[in-house]
Amino acid sequence: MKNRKNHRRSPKTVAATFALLPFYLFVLIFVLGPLIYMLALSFMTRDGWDAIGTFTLDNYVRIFDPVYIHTVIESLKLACISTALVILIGYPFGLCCAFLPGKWPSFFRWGQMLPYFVNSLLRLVGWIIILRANGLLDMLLMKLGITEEPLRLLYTYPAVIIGMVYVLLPLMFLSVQQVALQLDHTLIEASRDLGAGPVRTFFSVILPLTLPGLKTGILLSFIPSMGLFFIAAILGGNKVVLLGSLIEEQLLRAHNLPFAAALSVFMMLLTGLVSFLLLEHKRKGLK
Amino acid sequence: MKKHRISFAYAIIMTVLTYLPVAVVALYSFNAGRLTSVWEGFSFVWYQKLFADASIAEAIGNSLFLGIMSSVLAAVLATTAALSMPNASLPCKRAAEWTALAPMIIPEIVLGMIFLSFFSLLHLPFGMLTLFIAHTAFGIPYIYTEVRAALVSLDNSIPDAARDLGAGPLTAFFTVTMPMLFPAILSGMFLSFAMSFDDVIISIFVTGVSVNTLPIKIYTQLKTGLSPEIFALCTLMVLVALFCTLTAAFLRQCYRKKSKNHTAPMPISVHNKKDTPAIINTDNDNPQ
Amino acid sequence: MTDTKTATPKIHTPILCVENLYKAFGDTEVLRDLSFTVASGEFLTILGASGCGKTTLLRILCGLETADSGHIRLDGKDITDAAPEKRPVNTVFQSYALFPHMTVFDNIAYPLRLRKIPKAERTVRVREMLELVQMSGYEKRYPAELSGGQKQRIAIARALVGTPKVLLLDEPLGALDFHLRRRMQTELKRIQKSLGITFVYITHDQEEALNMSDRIAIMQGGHFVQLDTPSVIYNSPANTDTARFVGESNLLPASLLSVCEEKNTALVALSGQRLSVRIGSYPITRLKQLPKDTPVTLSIRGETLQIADAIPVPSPENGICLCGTVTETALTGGIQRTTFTEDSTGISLTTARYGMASTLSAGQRISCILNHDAAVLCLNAKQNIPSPDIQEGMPK
Repeated sequence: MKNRKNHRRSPKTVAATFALLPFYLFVLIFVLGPLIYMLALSFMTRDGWDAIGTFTLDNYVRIFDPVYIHTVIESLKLACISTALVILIGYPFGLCCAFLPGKWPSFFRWGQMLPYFVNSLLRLVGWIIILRANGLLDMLLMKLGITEEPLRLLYTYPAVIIGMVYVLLPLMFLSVQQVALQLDHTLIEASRDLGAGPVRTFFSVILPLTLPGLKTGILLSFIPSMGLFFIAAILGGNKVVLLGSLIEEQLLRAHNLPFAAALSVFMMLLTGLVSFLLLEHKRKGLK
Repeated sequence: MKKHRISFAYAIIMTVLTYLPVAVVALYSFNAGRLTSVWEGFSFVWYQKLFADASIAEAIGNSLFLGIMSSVLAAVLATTAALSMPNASLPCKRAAEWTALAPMIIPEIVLGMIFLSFFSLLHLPFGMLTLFIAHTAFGIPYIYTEVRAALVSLDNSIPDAARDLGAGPLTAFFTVTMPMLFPAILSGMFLSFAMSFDDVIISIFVTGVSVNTLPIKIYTQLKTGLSPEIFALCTLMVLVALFCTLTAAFLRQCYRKKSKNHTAPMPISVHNKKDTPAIINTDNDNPQ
Repeated sequence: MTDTKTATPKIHTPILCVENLYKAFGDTEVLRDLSFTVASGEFLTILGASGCGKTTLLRILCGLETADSGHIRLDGKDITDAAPEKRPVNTVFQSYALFPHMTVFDNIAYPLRLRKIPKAERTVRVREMLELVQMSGYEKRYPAELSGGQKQRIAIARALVGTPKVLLLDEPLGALDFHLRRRMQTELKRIQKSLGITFVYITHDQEEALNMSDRIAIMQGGHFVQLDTPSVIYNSPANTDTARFVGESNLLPASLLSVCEEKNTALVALSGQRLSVRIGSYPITRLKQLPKDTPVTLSIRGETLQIADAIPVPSPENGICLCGTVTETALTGGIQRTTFTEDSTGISLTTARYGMASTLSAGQRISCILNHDAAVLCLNAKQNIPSPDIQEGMPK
């Protein structure tokens, strides 16, 4: 059995290796580097505006100080509430739009994507107008006679929730709609044909098959939600503090790099845990 | 059909709610007065003030420049990577792939944090350069996943046919493979640009004192209070976005006639972030 | 440009010589010591089931893969190591592989542009090709707007416009429906004959192979089991696998009695009777070495078993009588097939003849006449077949 060396393969590999190099180096230096540095920072000691290399676990311990851990818990609560609302409102929305005939799914899809080309800050401005004291919402409610006094929703917790849901909803919608569009409608027909009513069909057929989209949507809503501090700042004033706001404050104002790093690592652990749980169930669910 | 009526109604309601704040802002952009509680008549004054405001123009210019440049670099890096990944031999190249995709799933605040601290460590001057690097870094995953997906669904016999008919490897690549990948690359760049233009958090962290991008300008302004120029800006941006969308849809219609069976996914199906980076393992070294 | 309508194919001149091709992917051997020649102007079909290595062979011939060892000579030149773009060999791919971003015209003009042929001449040649495949007027269309059959013809036009010395076709008609396939088979034959270009056609469809080819190569396990004209392959299959693969065959064991070399027949004992059978492609040297009463295998085509009226026929003049019990009858495409279990061997045999539904039913007795020299000796595929024993028949 003779073996001829395939000399067309070597130059291919060499060329490919060179082609990959810029990407490789960029990612190594500007993505991996920062991540590793952050991890290292979280174990360092603060030194004024800088950090010195003395190993310490203080930063992590500090997270569990009452005031900070309170923020973390409140953040998680807010994230969970927002995500829950996003599921309740966004999941049916995604499904509905996927089942519409003709070009409508496409239309609504673009409808949801369009606002993304306007900076998220600007989109929240509208809510400021609506929610402020004697703003549009108040005027409407008072006109309808539902309330007598202005609700003054701006700079409250609910306002932040509204803002969060508003910004995160499209992500859930798009994920769910994309999966739902690929749903084989003959499966639904088969289910009905075999005797299942609409509710049963939903739970036995539609829900399990769109679950991946739902899970993606949950991840995409939950993961950013603790970090969107600008929503809390604009709609919640100083009353609502997120984990993200905490990091921003520590980094930009208190200049406590190690603590900010520790908080960031902590946040990544939290989101990582949630992702893992969701995806782990995904794997189990398929069996 | 009854089912469609309910779905339709719900979809319409949701869309109305989505555009409600936008509509409100548009409405008040034409308010002659400054306060939103009082309607003082229809006027273009805030639009005039907007166009006169040089700092906003500068901020928009910066954001556009940043968005385009970072998308281009991200496209170059991501495309070369997607093409060469199967055949290259670099240590832990798969790990590099996962790392490159990480910015899609890491919370923006954390990204801001890591970039800020790392750039400080390197003593890089904060400004356009740092913004550029950071935006490229989080733009790469969008383009990479698109191009990778397009490559996977690419009918390999087509570049093979080009070789068979007399084209050398490079010629085959540029005349056949690239045009087929083009929509995927463009679509990824589109998304990368949108993410860059929309970005608030990372920009806040890595910008210098001298550079103002649009989101930062708006954020600082919002903290001090509402200004109707902002309303005008928002309305204009929605209109521009609408215009671009319609143009894109029109172009896609024309393109669709040309290639119904095209391998690359259409832009519309891609504007979603995948949860797990969909690393598709294609090694071109597979035997027949 | 030569007059394409009356080019006389130069047959008997070998244009493609393949020698000792070997290819393995990891531990799997895909091509084993494969050698053959193709004559200029010939339509050669390589027929085999999936996994026999025919696609790999094609890719090696066109240059997209390299063999581990062996040589390929085209028109005298060694092209074993040549890159695909340097070979005067073009391929029609199974998936057509039309460039989606180019018009039909640009697709066909592509190889000409690569050779820097001036625009005027390109236009003329592309138009000629379109006429040849009967797709004139489709210049400005895009591949996505074409049907399967139309794409097929454009792919063929594109592969032929550069006047390759050999055209390779990888199961080009696989995706087409029955009627279209039949039409395209005629088309391809017509194009091949009018241009005189050598075609190497790969397929797993034996009807296609029998219908279109000057010669067929049966490929199995990485090498050619038989390489001959369609009628020889049909009537004298080299071994039991080929017999089963091409046409419907009954395989019956018999005992060898004697060999008559001059008439190319042998005498065997079957079902207690003596039958004369053709030697066919069975290696005669090996046959002569076999002692009397050696078990041999006969290949009997269903249409040569004639159902008799009487059961059994006492002394048939021209052959022997095989009796048995009917197990099933089937009527497909106007052909009546009756399967019965033969008494002496217990093997199921199937007869085939034109007709309407059979009057026979399961459980009934049946007797068939098998004429002398209708059956043919067939090598049992489980025995090794060394390459030199394969007789390469040249095209007529």
